[in-house]
Amino acid sequence: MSRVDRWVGIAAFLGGVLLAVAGWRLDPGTSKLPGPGFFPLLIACTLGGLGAWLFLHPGSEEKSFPSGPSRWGALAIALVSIFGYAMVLIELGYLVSTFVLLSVQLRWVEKQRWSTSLWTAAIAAAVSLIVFRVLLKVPLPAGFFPLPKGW
Amino acid sequence: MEILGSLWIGFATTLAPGNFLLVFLGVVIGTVIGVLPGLGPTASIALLLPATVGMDMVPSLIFLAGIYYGAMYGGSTTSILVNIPGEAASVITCIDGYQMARQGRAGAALGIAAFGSFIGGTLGVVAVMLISPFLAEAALKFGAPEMFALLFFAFTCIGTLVGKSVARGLLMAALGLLLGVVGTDDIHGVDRFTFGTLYLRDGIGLVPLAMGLFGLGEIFFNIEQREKTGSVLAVPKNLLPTRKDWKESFWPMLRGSGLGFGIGVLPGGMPAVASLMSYAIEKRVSKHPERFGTGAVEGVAGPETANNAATAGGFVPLLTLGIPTNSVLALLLAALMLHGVTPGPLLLLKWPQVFWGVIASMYIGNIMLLILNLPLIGIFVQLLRIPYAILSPLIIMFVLLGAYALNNSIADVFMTLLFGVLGYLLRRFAFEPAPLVLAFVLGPMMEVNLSKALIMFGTGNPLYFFTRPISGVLLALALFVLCFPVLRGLGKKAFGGTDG
Repeated sequence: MSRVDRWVGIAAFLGGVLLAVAGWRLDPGTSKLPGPGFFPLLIACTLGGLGAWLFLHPGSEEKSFPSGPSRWGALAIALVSIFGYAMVLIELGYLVSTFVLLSVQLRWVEKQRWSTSLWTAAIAAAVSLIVFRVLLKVPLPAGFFPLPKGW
Repeated sequence: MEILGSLWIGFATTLAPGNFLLVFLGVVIGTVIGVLPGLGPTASIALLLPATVGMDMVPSLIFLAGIYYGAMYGGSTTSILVNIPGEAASVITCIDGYQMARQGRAGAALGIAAFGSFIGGTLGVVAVMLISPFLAEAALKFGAPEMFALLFFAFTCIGTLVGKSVARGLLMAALGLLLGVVGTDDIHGVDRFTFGTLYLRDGIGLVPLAMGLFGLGEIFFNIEQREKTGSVLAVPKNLLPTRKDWKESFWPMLRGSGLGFGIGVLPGGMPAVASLMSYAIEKRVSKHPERFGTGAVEGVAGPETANNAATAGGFVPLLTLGIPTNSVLALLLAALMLHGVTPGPLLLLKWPQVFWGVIASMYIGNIMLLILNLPLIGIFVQLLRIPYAILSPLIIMFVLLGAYALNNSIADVFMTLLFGVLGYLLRRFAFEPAPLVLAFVLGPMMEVNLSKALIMFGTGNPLYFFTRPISGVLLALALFVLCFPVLRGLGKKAFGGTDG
């Protein structure tokens, strides 16, 4: 029995109940004249029903890839660094923030040497800036780093 | 004659220097994407979608379509030489393709995969060209009840055909419907589930959703569970299959073309499903099924032909009914809508250059891919020698860049990250994200047509849909699709049978 299916079933059922309440508040109307809550209410019934089904009839236990040990630390660093990137992209600008993001990813997530990390990050950030900002005219944030005129 | 005249216009459009170059670029980028594990066609098209906003409608679509079928070609290379599929549709090619390579027959495997892809792709395009105009004409007669029934049928197919568990597939599809209702309601102008934010009023964007689920989700999964890759086998000089290989592959290729196209037309009929079914059929009809898994050339020819025929087949419902059958086609639908084109039965009448331009570009793209894949395969294989540890951060950078570039919005970057986490969790616990994306696209269309049908025909009785012949048949089919797994389970219990 899949514990995942059971937990997902409970979550879907509860989500369905909450959605039904929200759909009701939005005004479901009638079957002759459906309101804005009509379709969400139908989805709520589907979600709740499927959640109940999954809870009562869970499949066999399976993971996507039951392979080697999990690298939770690397995953956490990757997630935090991307979140941080999104927070500072406008203020620091594309070039600096992308350089920092790539350096962190290469050094601490992928365990590359410092020299490899810094060189790869610098080249990738600069080339992507030229391609997207200069050639494709995508207005990437400049930030505080001085860019040549016309960029 | 009318079809030939229209096709001629399509070729004239595609052979214009700028468009021809875009077909070439599309298939090369697609092949590279297919070769490299970790970045599938869905994430790649989502990534490049912002770059096509400035292009005209036809060039942008033929470029993106080129990436799609290029990826289908390229995916087999890594399956055969490294035993790692470049994309989902090539998973099955690993089984016999890699065994052939280990026996020193990599050339024959790569050659048959390339020729099979060409044959499946080309026959698929011919079928698209012949069937689409008739289907579009028939679909013009569809009213709101018929469209709703068709979309509901698509919804059930997507939920039940994709993935291993029907309940999980349908749950993902229901989640997709829910995400699709976020934003201002088209009919009543009421904000739904926007939590008071301006950003969500326009609804959740398909591109952040697809890039997060398929791009970042895959990367996060690979970071957490880094797989050990096998060594890349050398590419032999002779890639031409022998006469015996051709003889053994002829019928599998023919069957793969028919089967693949048929599956590709169905909602939820992804190329991966076509290749899997083709392999199962070839094994079943073979006089020597014991050879499968040990390097049978039929195990490469059938699936590779089927996945490319399915790729072509998916364009039929997209271009004639406006219904995407897989997540890549959902993004192509988004690309069309970005340019103000509403895909559906009127596409052929209002924008014939789009339809015939895409068809002609597919003919040309298939020929380009055959020419490119055989002599240049050594160059593509060199890409496999780039360490994944270097590629992975670069892919993250491109995904975030693409997310930002679409609307120059940092909120889109956060949204992509959010869906990246969801994509990782789905991958981690073996939930298939494709039904979610497809239902997300189909949901708003379903709602509008359901509301229109109920208001216009105002009976208030849901059984009304069954009184109209087309919608009745489609809903009956949908119910059959929904009930089939349950009935099959009951049948197995009653008769004590097993699979097969």
